[in-house]
Amino acid sequence: MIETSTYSKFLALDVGTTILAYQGVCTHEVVVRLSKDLEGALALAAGSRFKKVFSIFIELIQNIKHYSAETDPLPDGSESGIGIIRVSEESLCFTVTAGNCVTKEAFKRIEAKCTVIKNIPTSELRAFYNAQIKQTQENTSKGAGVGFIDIAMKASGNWEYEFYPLENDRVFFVITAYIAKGKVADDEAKPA
Amino acid sequence: MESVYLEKTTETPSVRMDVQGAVIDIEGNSYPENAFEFYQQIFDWIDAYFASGADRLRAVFRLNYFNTSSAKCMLNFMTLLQKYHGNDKSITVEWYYEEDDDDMLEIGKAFSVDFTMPFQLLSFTD
Repeated sequence: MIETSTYSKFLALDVGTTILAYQGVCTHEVVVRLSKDLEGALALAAGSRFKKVFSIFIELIQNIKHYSAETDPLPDGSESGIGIIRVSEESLCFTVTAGNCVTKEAFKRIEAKCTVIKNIPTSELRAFYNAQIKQTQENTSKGAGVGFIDIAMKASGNWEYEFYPLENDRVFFVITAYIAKGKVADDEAKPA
Repeated sequence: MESVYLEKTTETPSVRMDVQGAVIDIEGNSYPENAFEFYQQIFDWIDAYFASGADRLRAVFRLNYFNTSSAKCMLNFMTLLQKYHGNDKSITVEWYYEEDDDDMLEIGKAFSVDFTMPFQLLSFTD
């Protein structure tokens, strides 16, 4: 399914060994089923890095569910986002990459947010996260607004994002996080 | 006032809200479809518990993993406990983390600094 996807060209799907790949509508049931699959697949491979890889995966797939501009209506009247996500293993790191369509307005917001986070030194991300989570709106069903900071923190600053213009005022947003296999390898996690 | 037990699922923790033992025990993963809705039922129970005349509560967190929506709920959880601590209720918090889980440890550390109720950081091996 991934190979024939319109959007697969935007993601480096051929790098490393695939642990899990999915493209389609990300309902809550899909999130739960894939997280179970990933838990099993990662348990042996990722060791102490398991939770970092797992949590970045959950954050990114729930982002697709809530924020993709391309959605699928559900029988109960709600909608779930459509996107693409892949977890893979390379020699020094695990990689989680996700992509979905966003509107032009959302693109500007996401780009501004990512730029701010990218410019924060890794050692200061935790303090920034702690400050931001206190300021976020309460009682929204979608999230706490600190997902990207959490991803940056768990990937020790080894993450990147790209935007590709599409037709109809849409933009394709791709985010990739690299999780080093060992603590000492954090600086070298991102492939050259 | 009744005790309530919520069974663990793949994406929600087990929650034991025990009136006789004066304890809330939360254990497992937390990435519900709607974290705010999930935790609201626990907050409602705590409010009813203290409204019924209880004067102490021990809150035990043994979480394996939670998403950022749940992290916000944890912050709201601590804020609620702090409110009762300020109202002369006896509150104690036990925050467990796996030995190599620096993220869970750091979140607990931040809570222990931000809130003034008795707060213990405990590794799973303790």
